[in-house]
Amino acid sequence: MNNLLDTFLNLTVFAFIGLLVWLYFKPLPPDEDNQRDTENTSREDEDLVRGRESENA
Amino acid sequence: MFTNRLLIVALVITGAIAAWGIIDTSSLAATSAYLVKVEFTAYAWFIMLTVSFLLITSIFLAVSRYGRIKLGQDDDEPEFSTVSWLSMLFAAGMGVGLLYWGTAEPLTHYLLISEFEDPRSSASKALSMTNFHWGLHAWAIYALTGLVIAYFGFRLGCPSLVSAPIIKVFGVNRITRGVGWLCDLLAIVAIAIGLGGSVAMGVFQVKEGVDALFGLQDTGMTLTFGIFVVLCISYILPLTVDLGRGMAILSNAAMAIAGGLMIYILLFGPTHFIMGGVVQATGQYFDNVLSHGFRTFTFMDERVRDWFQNWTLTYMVWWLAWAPFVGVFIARISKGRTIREFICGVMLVPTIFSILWFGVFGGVGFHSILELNLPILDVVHKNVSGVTFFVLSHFPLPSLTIAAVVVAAFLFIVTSVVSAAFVLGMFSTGGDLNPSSRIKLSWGAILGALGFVMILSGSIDAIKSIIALGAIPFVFIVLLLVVCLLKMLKKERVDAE
Repeated sequence: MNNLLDTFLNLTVFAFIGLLVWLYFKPLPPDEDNQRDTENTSREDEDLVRGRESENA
Repeated sequence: MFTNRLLIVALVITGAIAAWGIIDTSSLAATSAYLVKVEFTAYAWFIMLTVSFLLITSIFLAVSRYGRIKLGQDDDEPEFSTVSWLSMLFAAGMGVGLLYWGTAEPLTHYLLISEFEDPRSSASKALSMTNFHWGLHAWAIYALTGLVIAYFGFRLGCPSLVSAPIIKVFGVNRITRGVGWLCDLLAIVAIAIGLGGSVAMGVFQVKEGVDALFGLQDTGMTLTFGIFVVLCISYILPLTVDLGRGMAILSNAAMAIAGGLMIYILLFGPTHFIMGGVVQATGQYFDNVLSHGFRTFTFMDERVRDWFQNWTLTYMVWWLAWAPFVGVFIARISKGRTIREFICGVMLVPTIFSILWFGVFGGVGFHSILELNLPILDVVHKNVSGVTFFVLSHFPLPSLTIAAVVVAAFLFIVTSVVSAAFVLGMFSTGGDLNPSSRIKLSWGAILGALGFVMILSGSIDAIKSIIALGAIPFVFIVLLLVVCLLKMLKKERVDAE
């Protein structure tokens, strides 16, 4: 029983170390502030284009 | 106040542990001793690997180009002068633990080592082992945790919470919010239990001091509980009103008394013997510091392995569990410092002070054994809380020095409880820098109840097991925080290039 518990606890450590390595190399999610700025800028550009199109029409 | 789920769960868990201890102290002590034994046996290699990794990572960050990064915006200047910053780091490093274990810890290690080696070489090994427990590895844990809190707080504008770096680095989603919440909860529980242990140790020491001061005998638990009640009354006022710099003055006064005691012992004791011991133990410590961090005593007999679990592993998880508490403090005073300054200051200054402290108090203990043949080892066996007072009773003006230790120990406990109630209030309210008096009082009550439980357990070993049980999850959490830090530092470097 003790051996089983010991093996289980050590397996959690191996899994945790694997998780840490994976997390370290996992790409960062896009920065929310930057993403929001980018979205706002592209929305402004689209509005500008739409405005010009309606003026041309 | 009672709409915050984290606060309610944290109060319920810590309150339940306190209630269990009050109703059936021996069952809590036995259960925690069993669980800690199982976990320490399985995780010993991992804990030692973790603390060594943290030390090596700290050194790498200090010497690499990351060392130039500021903890704040690039034009932020340090809030405190270097001298006052270093003296405040001293304050963080000092505490009732140093007063309690100053002589007792080296002598306890000596008892075991002298069974395998001759007494004189055992003394320097015992001092070196004590330095290992209180030295660079301990402070690397604090430095990295404080660095994570300071970097994410001052440079990236996150709240001072354990969960903040996780959410910042891995984004806001259900998993990160859940893991972050759990980390905050475990930090709160570990800090509360750890502080309960410190309260109990402090009360035991004050009680021994009062016994020695007034020549009392067989006062039993009556005096202990009396001191505990006075302590609780003393910290209620600072929790209800903001004393501003008052607490800092009390903490500095306790530190000045401790520093004065160290100088007194050095000057009035066998100065050449003590300084010789300090130098030898320092050399031995730095000679083995890295390899020592990888020692697991796997091939030794069970008694040595038990000693390793009861001391080295317990200390290491204790430092890990205290890391958010001390980390918040050292982060708050370090805004505007570079990573290099921060790591060098946090790791080197308190380590040097600890080496001096244990060299002086341990040295005078070894002088009592090796040169004067005083029965100090009997005191270590029978009553470890009384060792410091036994040493002081053989110096001039014992009443004055014993009274000074009692006052310093009392002040250290009061200031620790007040600071811990503030940090716990902050953690449990999502990083609120001004938690309400009601929340701080609730935490003060829980800390008092946990301290009471530890006092009821009546044994330092039981206290250590209960603390270790709350602290073990922090081995995992601190590693996760370090991964967050390394990822963000890498991103900052890539963005800058």
